[in-house]
Amino acid sequence: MYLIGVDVGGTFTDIVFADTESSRTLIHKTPTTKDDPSRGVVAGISALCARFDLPRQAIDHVLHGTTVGTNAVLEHNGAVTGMITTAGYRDIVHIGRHQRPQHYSIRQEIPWQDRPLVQRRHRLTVAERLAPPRGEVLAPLDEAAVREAARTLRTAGVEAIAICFLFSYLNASHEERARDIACEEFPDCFICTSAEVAPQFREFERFTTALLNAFVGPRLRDYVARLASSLSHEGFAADLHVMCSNGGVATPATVAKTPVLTLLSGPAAGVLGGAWSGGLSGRDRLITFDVGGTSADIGIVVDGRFAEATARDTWIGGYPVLAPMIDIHTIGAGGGSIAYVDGAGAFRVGPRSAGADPGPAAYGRGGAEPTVTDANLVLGRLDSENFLGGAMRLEATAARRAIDGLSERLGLGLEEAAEGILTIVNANMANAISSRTVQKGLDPRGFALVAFGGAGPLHGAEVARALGIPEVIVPAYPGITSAVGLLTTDLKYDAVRTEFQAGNTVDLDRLDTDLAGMQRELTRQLAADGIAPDDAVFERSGDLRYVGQGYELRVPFPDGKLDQAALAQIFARFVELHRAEYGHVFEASPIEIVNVRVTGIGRMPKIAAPRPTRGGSLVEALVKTARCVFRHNGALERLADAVLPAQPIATGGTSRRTGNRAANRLDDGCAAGYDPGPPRSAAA
Amino acid sequence: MVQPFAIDSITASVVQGALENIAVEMGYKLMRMSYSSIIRESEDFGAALVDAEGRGLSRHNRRRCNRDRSPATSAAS
Repeated sequence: MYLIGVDVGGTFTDIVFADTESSRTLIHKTPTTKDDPSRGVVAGISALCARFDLPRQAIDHVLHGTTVGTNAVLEHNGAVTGMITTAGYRDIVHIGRHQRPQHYSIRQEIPWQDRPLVQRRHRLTVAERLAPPRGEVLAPLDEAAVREAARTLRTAGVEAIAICFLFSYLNASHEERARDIACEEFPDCFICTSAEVAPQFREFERFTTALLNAFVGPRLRDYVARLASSLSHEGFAADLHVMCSNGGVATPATVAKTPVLTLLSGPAAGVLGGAWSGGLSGRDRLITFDVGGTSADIGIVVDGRFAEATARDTWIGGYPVLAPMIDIHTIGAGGGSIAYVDGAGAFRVGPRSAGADPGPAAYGRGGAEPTVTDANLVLGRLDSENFLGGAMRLEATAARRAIDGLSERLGLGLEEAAEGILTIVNANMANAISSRTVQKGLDPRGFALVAFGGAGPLHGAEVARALGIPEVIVPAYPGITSAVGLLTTDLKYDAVRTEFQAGNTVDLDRLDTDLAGMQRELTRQLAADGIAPDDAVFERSGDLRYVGQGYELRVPFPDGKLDQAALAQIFARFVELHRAEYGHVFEASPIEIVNVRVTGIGRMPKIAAPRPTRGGSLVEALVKTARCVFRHNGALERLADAVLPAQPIATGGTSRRTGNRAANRLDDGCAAGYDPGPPRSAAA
Repeated sequence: MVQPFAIDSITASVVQGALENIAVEMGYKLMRMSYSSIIRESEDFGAALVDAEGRGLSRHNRRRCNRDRSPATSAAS
């Protein structure tokens, strides 16, 4: 079977082709077309097919990671959005939880107030009221008011509407009726309800998620439609799937309806690619370290499985998102991060980035500020002739000029300043990983670091050394690991119901009915997506907590009908997890089932382990040796024996050896292990 | 009398980052171990490094936006 994965980055669109039968893997890079990324995607796939003589009709699947939705949120240029909500609750999305991003700052930005997804004048209310715990109707929906509100919003030039009523997660009928009325009045509008996007308790989060869905909806819907139609116009018959934040893929139809699911599409694929690469080396405790031009994305993989973020901890651009997401931590540190001297005279690197345009000074596109990439070039750790496999030349003079300006201000030599940039950015990255693992109660010394993305392998060894991580794995194609990650995934849909059932009063029949109902929905959806019943797998779980706690733990549920024995088993598993997570349990306290979940997985064909491209030995992988500058025993030294392995250079990333440390070849022939030596103290 | 000593700007930046990170990690530890919804949900707490005279070196900021894809760091990604 022929698979193609396409990941759209800030500068380049990465394309990887895999033949699942022959393990043949091909890669291709093409410039990203910023105004409409689908042009670059289609052009790149066509170019790859032409270059390697692949018939277009033979491609079975195209899997795509996109940042169209993410960028619309981060740049705050989504649709003009309207909202219809329950009378009396117009300002829930403004008030939030009375929390601010910073405790004490008087100059902070509060995203949901300073950058509202919907202007107050476009938040209209209608009379209706449901009541917990079963969602009985206290006050009927005022249908005339809904009609009036939809008309008002249409006149106001709104492009998308979110319908958000209280307690709709218990009873969606009012929201659905309101949606139908709004569709009649305003048929060409993008309309969604909060219950179809995130049927869970917590109004601020649910409403905001529905608003985000509406905010990015029209743009993403149009993008996916354009991509699908230009693929078929160019003669491709492949099934198109889009990567979602939860680590699975979805069909264009699903994404067009619930685009909010794709907000971490790009970084999620990176974590999957990193987990897959680590798995090839037989490692299943991994920290994935995906460093691009602007940011570094950090993911944690335990027992081969990535961590899913808890519902209260998922945020995009400062807004809470109630959607299942891989737990990814992003910091502003990458190849394009700009080094500067701040107002108080301190030497800083990032988070401001030169991005892809103009990019680092070494790109020769008018960038004048010193960046991490410029520092790597000045120290000889990047090779100007072999950047992106020689596809792009770096300008050493421009890089040196940019760093010269900085070194004068700091009173340091050129190489001291360049090495300082790397020391500081590596310390920032190591700190981010350290706090992330401490937060999870994990010890990084028990993990391997998978370093990828254009800049990851350049920094992996030093970051690992600072953290005492014993091993660094560099994937075969570090620059396109995200695109590879797209080919390691399955169709994946999540369904959730809020239950609030506690202790020994649990209504097992209701749980069974809800679980079975969700499984039926997902079965239908997977069947509609063309998944054979044998390839459909369902995983059931619940969010549990002790009664009175404000946070939940995800507990797997057994298959089949739930009886008292199964329930006891679920509670026992919760207690076990609570002990592992928090170090203690409350024997006497009743346990509450807050949400139940079903994940429907439709198995997809996957990329096979790649064959080593140059015979698999380090000698054959050698491109060149060069003189590089490293700090050794406190002083900068020019090391003549630094080795630049071929594969990373040839495929968009760049790796290196630090001085005399040993590189070990692992079984798959595409990863290098580094002996990091003793951890270096921060001040050394 | 203690002799003031010079510290280079690179070391200063690395040490500052490490101190800030220590306070951040103290905050995370407190949140995990406090058993308190006032800590976990309301985040009504602080963690800081101070010297013997109470002068602040670094503190734990509320975590939400620290771990977020904020526009400043990811608009181009």
